[in-house]
Amino acid sequence: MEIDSRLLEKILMNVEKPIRYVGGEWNATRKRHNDVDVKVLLAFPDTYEIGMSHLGLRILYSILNRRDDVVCERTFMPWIDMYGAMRSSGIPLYSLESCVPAGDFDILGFSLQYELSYTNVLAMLDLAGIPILTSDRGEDEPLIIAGGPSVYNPEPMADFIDAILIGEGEDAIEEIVDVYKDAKAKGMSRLELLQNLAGISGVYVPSFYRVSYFSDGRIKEIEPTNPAASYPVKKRVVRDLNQAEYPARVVTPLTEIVHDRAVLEVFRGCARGCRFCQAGMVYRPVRERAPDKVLELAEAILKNTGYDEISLMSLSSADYSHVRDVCSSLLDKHRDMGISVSLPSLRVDSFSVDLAKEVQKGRRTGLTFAPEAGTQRLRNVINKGVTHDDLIHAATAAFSEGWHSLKLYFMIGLPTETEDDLKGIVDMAKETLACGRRELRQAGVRKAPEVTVSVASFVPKAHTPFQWQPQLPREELVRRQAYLKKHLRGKGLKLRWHDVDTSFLEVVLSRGSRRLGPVIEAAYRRGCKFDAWDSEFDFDKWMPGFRCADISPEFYGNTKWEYGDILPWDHISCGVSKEFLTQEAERALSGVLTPDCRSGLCSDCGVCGNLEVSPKVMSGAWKEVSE
Amino acid sequence: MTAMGEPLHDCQVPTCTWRIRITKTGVTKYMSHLDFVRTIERSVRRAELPIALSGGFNPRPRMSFSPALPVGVSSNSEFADILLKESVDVNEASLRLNQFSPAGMRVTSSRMLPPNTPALSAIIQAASYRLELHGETEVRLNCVLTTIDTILERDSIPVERVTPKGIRRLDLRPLIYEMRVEAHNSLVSVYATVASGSQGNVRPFDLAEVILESGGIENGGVFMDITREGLYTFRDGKLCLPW
Repeated sequence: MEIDSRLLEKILMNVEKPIRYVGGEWNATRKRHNDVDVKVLLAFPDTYEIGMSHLGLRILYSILNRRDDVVCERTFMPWIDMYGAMRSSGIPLYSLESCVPAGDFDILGFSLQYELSYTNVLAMLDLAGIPILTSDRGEDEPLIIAGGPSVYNPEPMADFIDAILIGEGEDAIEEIVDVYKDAKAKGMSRLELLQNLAGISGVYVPSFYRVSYFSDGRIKEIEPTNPAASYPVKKRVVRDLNQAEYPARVVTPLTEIVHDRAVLEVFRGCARGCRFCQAGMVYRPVRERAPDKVLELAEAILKNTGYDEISLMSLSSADYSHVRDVCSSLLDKHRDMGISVSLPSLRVDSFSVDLAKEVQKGRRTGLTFAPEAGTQRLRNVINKGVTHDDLIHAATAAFSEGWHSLKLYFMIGLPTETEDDLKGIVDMAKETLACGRRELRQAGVRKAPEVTVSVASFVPKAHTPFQWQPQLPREELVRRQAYLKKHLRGKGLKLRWHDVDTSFLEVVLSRGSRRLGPVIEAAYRRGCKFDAWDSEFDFDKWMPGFRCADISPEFYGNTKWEYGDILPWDHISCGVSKEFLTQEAERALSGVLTPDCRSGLCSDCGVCGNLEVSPKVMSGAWKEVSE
Repeated sequence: MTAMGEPLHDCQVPTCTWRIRITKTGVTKYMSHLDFVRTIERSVRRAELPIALSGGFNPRPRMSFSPALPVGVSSNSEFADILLKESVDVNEASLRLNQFSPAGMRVTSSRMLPPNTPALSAIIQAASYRLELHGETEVRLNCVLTTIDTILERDSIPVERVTPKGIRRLDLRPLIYEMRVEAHNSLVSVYATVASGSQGNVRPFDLAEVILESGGIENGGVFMDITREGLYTFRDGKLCLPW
């Protein structure tokens, strides 16, 4: 099948930002499809601007296209107008590089970054003319695979994805392609292919497991039904980031994307151990990239893309042991080309402010700190090692260095939260603002300080110490938001909060079992797409699906589960042991802190033993930094 | 972006202005003007040409551009002024820039300009467009010829433009300098030269609309590929490229 290019052009003239649908970017790879053995389409279930900002996609694209026997292309979820136009004119989902229908590829790989993109996955499959359900796919249909952070609880998507890679893709994607190539050459059946895939460490084939339930919805048993299926499926992990492929020839978009800059991952994983944070658990252990490697890559990426900004990315970039040296080397080296450096996700301390000052010469857009909770008691519960003084010191440093607007991130509805903790949020915000007034006055700055408080609703996630915890009922979250709205008023204070229905659906999909498959399908059939977008999200369209399947979303969203319960994701292992999570859950309730293993104290989370890896921290300044 | 001829108050290094004529064809026709600017900037960096930066805390490359092209219109003739820290061999620099530009963006000619050359935005007064007509059935040459004659015979072509200040009425007729029909094999194109710039501006989609509304051509099935073919300044009453 070929795409009618004249028809496509007509459509493109009538949609918003057509440049998103035509490819042609610098460094995009074009290959002749007839010359390769395996054709892979990386599919990102959100807009081009979001998907193109995603590092994992770039890494896999680079690894696959390096091979002569593989072509790897990209596709994204078309925005509502384009989606509608494609449907009504019969243009299927197509790849950006060659404008080839998605259904003509051998493998479609979906990136599952957040639960609220699930309906988009279905929409893309449907637009491609590929059956939505795994069980409906014939021998000649493409293989549908997925990966990304959401697959640490893959169950809600079990009905739709043929094989799921748990963990870090750069380590396994080539094995998957090799198995596919072999199966194709030998003319194997789809079942044989899936069995061989299941033999790859980290690959999970949902249809090879049977889940049985008690009448109240809890799980009785998760049982492999195929000899090829392992139990548990352990995540794949890159042992040494310095040996891992990192793309230097990054596809550089022709239009502005969300993170429109060069991105360089300086380390992976975070061992700070915040108990609500899924990334902090599933990406363990901490593995740093050597500073000389960072500099070498930075140079190559800047040269190959022409970007004027490079972001040193990680889960907490100020924790990188050579962050200061690397920043100054980069700035010194590229100053005459006007290159700037940015550091996302700074810590709440004056060291971070210092760093920000160094890299952000001039362009003072605002600084963000994340104390997460309003009182020391609750911060101890969540193991966020930040004190009231840390925040005040950081704020003082920031205001005295010339910033006049700060953003503070908090969560509401954390386990054990009381009104005191809400009051704590209000107090911290007001104190920060007062600190700003004082500092700006002293510095003779006439501008008024501004503090924006952003409150998210707590969403318990799989593989965290809070995985057994419920989310508060929506009425209660609304009440707590109202408390903040009432008390966080006045000049210089701004409050932002999240829609509670959105957070509720997020927790349901995060903690859901594979019984949710029909619910997701029903939501898609009723027109749900782009659920992560406030303008598109419509919870009312989700409800009939729950009713039809006789599932109470509250069971997944608002019910506390027992340590002894079988959880929907118990057959998936990120390396962190359930014993550790249980122990952390208990320590949380008694407010006991657990140190970062980079301090030298092993918290025995299980990752190193279970996955035969070890933390890789470059020698040098890290001890001083973690103080 | 910096206007030309501005004193070099924030940049110690003396600069040279390199004026390029560049295409925006293929998929790059779908880029917005801002996308186009950003992409040239990145191509210049990739090509490691000695780009001059503005001073201040947030140094920006010093570049300025010919009037924006609407999204979806191709061009064989966009102009950009790029300030460089030192003079370059224009042929070599063009070659290099082309080597590092996405497909569809090609420098076709370029010159180093003498100091104090006026900015592009100040001198561009006219543009020419080619409108390629595609129909679901064959577009007949006779119909198009009749249509163009009808348009040129009119005394006025009133159009309405929605601006932030309300609806503005405009007569396009005096702003259309030339219109003719060209046919190659079965492909029929209208070629038009019109006012472009602050003294009066005919947008390419205005032209398309006028052609469709003037009858003779059946509307629904006709689709136009529009290409800007030239940008001009008047010198002694003649249209000249802005060199």
